[in-house]
Amino acid sequence: MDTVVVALLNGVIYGLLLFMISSGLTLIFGMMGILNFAHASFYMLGAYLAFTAVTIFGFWGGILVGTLGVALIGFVCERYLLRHVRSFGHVQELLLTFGLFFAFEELVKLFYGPYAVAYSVPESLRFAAFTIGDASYPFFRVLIGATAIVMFAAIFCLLRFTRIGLVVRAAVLNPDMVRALGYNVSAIFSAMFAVGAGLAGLAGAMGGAYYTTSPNMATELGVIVFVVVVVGGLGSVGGALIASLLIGILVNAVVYLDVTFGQILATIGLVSQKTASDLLAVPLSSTAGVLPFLLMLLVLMFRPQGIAGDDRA
Amino acid sequence: MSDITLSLASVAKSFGIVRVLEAIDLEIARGERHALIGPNGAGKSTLFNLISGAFAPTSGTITLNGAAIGGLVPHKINRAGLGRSFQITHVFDKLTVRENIMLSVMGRFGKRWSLLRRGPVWTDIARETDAILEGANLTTRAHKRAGDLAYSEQRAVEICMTVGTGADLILLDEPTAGMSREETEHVITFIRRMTEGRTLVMVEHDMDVVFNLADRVSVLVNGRILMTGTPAEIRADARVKEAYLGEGAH
Amino acid sequence: MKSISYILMAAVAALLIVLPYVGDLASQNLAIKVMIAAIFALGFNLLWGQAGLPSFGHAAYYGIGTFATIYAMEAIDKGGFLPTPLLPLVGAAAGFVFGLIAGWFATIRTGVYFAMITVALAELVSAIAVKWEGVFGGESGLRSIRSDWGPFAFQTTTSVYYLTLVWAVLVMLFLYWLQGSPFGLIVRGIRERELRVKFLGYDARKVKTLVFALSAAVSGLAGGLLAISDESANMVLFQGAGSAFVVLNTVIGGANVFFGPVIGAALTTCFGYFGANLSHFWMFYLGVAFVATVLFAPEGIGGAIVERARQVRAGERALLNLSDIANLSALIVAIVGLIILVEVTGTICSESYRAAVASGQGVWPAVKLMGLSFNPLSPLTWIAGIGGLLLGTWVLLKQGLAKWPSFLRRTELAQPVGTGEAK
Repeated sequence: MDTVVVALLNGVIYGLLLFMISSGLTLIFGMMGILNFAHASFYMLGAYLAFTAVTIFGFWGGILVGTLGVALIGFVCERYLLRHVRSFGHVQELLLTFGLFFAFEELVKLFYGPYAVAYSVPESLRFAAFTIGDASYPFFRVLIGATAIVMFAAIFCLLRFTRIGLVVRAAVLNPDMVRALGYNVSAIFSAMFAVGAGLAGLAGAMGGAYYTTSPNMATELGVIVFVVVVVGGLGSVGGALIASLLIGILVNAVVYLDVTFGQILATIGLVSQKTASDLLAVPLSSTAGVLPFLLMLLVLMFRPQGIAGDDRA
Repeated sequence: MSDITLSLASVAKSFGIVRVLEAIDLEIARGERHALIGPNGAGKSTLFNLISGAFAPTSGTITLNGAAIGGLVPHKINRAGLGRSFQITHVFDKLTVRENIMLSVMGRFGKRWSLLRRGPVWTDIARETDAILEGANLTTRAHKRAGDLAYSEQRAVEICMTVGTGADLILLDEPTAGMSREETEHVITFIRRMTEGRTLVMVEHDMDVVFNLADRVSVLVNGRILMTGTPAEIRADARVKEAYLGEGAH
Repeated sequence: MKSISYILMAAVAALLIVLPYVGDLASQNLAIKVMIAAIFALGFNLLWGQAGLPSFGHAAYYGIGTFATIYAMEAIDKGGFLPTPLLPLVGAAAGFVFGLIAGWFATIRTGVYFAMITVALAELVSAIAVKWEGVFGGESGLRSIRSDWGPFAFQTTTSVYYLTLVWAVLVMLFLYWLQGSPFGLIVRGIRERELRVKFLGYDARKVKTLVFALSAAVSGLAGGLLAISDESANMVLFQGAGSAFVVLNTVIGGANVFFGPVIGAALTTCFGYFGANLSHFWMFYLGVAFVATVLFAPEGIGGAIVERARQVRAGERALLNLSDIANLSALIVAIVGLIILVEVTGTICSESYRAAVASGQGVWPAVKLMGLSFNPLSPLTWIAGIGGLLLGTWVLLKQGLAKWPSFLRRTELAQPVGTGEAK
């Protein structure tokens, strides 16, 4: 029972981390129609920037540098690169972000080498938040979750209760109309892109310390974020939240199931015991990496527009 | 088969809680040229999209040549014998004019998956394509890219494509939109010639075009058909005048 | 102009035929790799350039082709009757079947969704390959051997070279013919305006699924040739890099020109082959080249060649004029600047260099590059790098190389809002 609770908690927190990245991706898509391949790179850059700044500014300074630094990078990418290709259609934008994704990964390797770097949670923050049964639950994990919730609440309030938020929400729905009303949509785009990138950077700065910081963290997380966005429905922040949590829990919970595929198939009589133990000795827990994709295929079959997506896109 | 090509029976469409069309009944005879008119927001485009399969009706039935087509996907509706044009020109910019029309003619010859080979059918397709080009005076333009043509020529290509599928019901969405008076005159003659012997349904704002081209006219107001009649009857009807004047349009 | 391209093609063909007699083993191996990459890129471009469908997960079909062929080779070795020269067809068949399934899923959505689904499907295949050691051989992969067939022996590199060459020619003929076929016309129509194609009575989804499967089949065939050449298959094939490279090849070469992907594949494969020996950071250069292509030459090298040929024919420009030479020099200056920056930075950040500094009591050794020594502590090094890069780029932008080709129009592939998926 305790392990189940721990698994669920892990899942929720991993899901919240996913949400910090997917919400930015989905907002940017809703507003600009750009699918930003490099969004997960922002997550990676956040971790590396924080790792570099930690030695100078301390851990919290590092987190701050990671967040703001990536926001700045995002701003530059939008203002000086993406805007340049905007008039040539979404495919060109997609290609550009894809190229950036590729280049960022190589850039990180250039400075830090191809292996993981020793970026970790400082000793002072390594204590248990609470205990569940015999297991103590690390404080930093809770902190990641709490940060995600606070950020989400802040953005929600900003969008919902301020005048800037109103303009941004309108720009997501119909940028041309907002432009016609006399607002500087280009500036809003740049700012939103920077905020989305900054969120991913924050997620990287925190997540990188807890999980691992390596050049392929962008690839690993990037695909999962894509799955989240397809499952949740592009352009929907609510959908992204639900899908993030769902996938976070799914991935973490299955690790605790101790059976193999062969055993399952043999039990229902589809294959012989011998095949089960030779060819199909794949433990179900090892499918954690596959499950999000299977979920995505199911969603595509039965609800192609995603959990909260509408029929528009 | 009866003489009715298209028939709509109590067709209704809602978007969410908004009822755009209610209880539309309409019968269009074979060979008839029928125009849908009405003030902005009356539901003309929605009705058009229902017939061509862009949307599914909320209730009611749409019958084409005796077969129900309501809610079918566009390509199936097309194979049932309906071709449509678009208000905003939808030609294939980067293909040549001939390729544009060939693409539409190919569909008529069925067995699309065996079209990998340029067999005897292929010569039929080529002949038919050239005939359409000839009829539309587009032969000299055949190897130009459609995107490089003048706007009115693109409209002509668009109408040729609609006719090229071999559909016996042609839907035209504002065929003269954005044209000068001179071009409009030209297009009316063109449409008359190209759609000879077929059934035509069009949405049009330009009353001159409507009264010039249509055999019968339906007036759509607030999601209902106010009246259907010959152009002369429509012109004389007080309710139609009121609907238009009441809207302050035209 | 046409005669020039025929002469060029004849020269390339002649060179390819005599290569084993004039080149050494290494050049044959390189040529095999180039041809495989070219076939892969051509297959990919059937989907990307012809149908306008952005796939970012084609490594899956390539890898599946390789593994299927390895299993077939194993079967032949154990007494199967399939002729070795026809082995690539096994890869093609495997690619086709998986392509049908994947295509069915991916074409449920359009535009950027399509792109994301292809990524996720490739990742799914990759994740399965990693976990399922029984089939994919885990980290060590699978090995098999080429069997001879009748009078044909396939033990030498030269024999593999000619086999690959024959298949490359066959694939090109097939794809060229497909492009001109009625089916190819429908596919191009879908790229232009899918909605219109639907209203012309074609089942666009079916066409897209089929074109996806055909593209996957050609990719699988390329994978099969790789299996024959390497006599091994490894799950590394499924990783994202494979999918990325084929996109890079196609875009750098030019997706709207038939031979564009071939040009791109040849360039990046050669660049990888020589570059990997010269620098640890060749992938970074490739990434920069790709971003620069997208920004400044969206039609790729092939597109630029075609455009220039058109201009020359129309008498608008000379084949080579002064501004080209200026541009070229600026480009070289920019590249040299970039190389200095990247190599010096990369070297001083590497662990071995840090160790050298530590053992040398804090003395920073010079970085050897292009026969010159660069002192990383000297500002001159950095001025040379940054200055070269900025100067070169500035001249290029001023010269107007960055201008978009006139024939490039806005493509309407993704429709975030509107009737992109009207039923």
